[in-house]
This record gives sequence, C-alpha cells and structure tokens, in this order.
Amino acid sequence: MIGLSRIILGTDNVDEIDRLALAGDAAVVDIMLSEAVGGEVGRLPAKANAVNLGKLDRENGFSRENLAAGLVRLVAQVIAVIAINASDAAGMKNIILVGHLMDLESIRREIDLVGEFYDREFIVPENPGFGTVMGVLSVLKRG
Amino acid sequence: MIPANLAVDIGMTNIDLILETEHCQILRMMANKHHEPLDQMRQALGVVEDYLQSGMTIGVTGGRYRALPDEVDGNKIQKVNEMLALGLGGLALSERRSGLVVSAGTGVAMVAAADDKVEHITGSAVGAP
Repeated sequence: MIGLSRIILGTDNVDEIDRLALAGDAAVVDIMLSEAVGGEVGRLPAKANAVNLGKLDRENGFSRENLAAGLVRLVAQVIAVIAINASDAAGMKNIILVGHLMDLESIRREIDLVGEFYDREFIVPENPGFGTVMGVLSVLKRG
Repeated sequence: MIPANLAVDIGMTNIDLILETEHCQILRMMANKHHEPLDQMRQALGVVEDYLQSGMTIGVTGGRYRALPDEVDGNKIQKVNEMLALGLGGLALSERRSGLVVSAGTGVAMVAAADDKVEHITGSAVGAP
C-alpha cells in the first residue's frame, strides 16, 4: 500500500494515508454495483463496489482523499476476502486480524464492511500491531 | 527492575518489541532503519538498553532473523518461527483458542492456529505498514 500510495497520492506517510482515506469516498473512484449492473448481485448490495479504482481510466481530477479511500478499500478488500476464503478452507470460524495495517481506522472500516457483506465477523484485538511479537513472548514464557 | 522477557519482531517496515518485567509490560514500535538483521537487533536493544542484563535471553522473529548469531552483545538469542509466533500471538491477543490469524503488515500472512498448533495457510503480497 505504501508503494502505491507514493505513486498515486505522493505520500508514504501512513497517518496521512489514513487521514486522507477517512475524509474521502471510495465510491467516487470505484465502479459500484449500482452503476455496473443496476443493483445487487447475490448477497452483495447495490452499494458494494464492482471494480476497484474502476473510474480512473475514464475520468480525471480525482481528489487525493477519494483516491486514498479507493486505495485503502482495494487493500482491505483483498485481505478480507482472502481471509474469508482461507478461514473456510481451513475450517476456522474465527478470523483474527493483527499487524500494523490494522492500526489504521480506514482499513478497519473497510474490512468491517466486507464482513457486513459476507456476514462474517473479523476480530481485531487491542494493540493489533503487536500480534507477532506477542507470540514471541508466549514462546519465551514457556521456557 | 529485572527484565523477565524481551521479545522482538523485525518487520520490513517496523520493529516491534515487548519488554515484560515482573511489574509491567512495555510495548514499543519503531521504524526499521537498517537492512542487516544484526543492526536491526541492536536498534531494538538500544531502545531498552537500560533494562538489559548480560546473559538474558531475547526472543526474536521476523525478517531475516535466522541470519542472526546465537548471541548479540552478551545476550542469548532465541529464534522463534515467525508463523508460530503469529499464530500464538494472535490467539493470545484476541483471547481465543483457535482461529485464522492474519498478519496484515508490509506483507500479509495467514495461519490456522489452534492451541499450540499453527499451520501456514496462505498470504498475499498486498499489504502495508
């Protein structure tokens, strides 16, 4: 996300990316289901997106805020959809999200939206960025 | 204050550490400023140098942790499998006994974790900080 942000938004500052994304609207840069097919598809409502950043090849002049929102949505949706499929494949009910990407409110918001669409709960614990190092601590404490 | 445990995760973008003493738990995140694992380790140790004691064991994972020597500046290094750490850490933080644990950072890894058993399932090169 940082690399794409540097090219698209001109910043690699994650706090700025988060702030921009929260102020933007991904529906401005994405092609939405309502626009693509005129309504819902299966369990997905008309307000769901059909194509990430799909309007970038036909329009110009997008704000940094809306571009950030679309970029964050792209990254969040890839992670969330893969996680849902992976949890089903592994027979796991709980999906637990850790890592510093989960520190960003804009990412959490988009992942929650995927959970809403697919009726799945994503568990984001407190201090998610410290998930892996907490596991190291667990191993140390076992001796 | 005597440190009980020091854990380090060397990420591609950030280094995380937890120092746990008998009285408190200190969590720190810092930007990874180096390319070599030994330099990254010393960067992390520098943040908590006042708490370090010669001969203590430090747990580490992430990045090229396997390239670290078995001892750094008098401290024994215990190398921890990164997928195991992810699974155990995700369960511990979320207070669950099983689940798909997703590490969303610069890279994305997903493991199935149940109690002490952790299995890598998949991942994605799409990620962030």
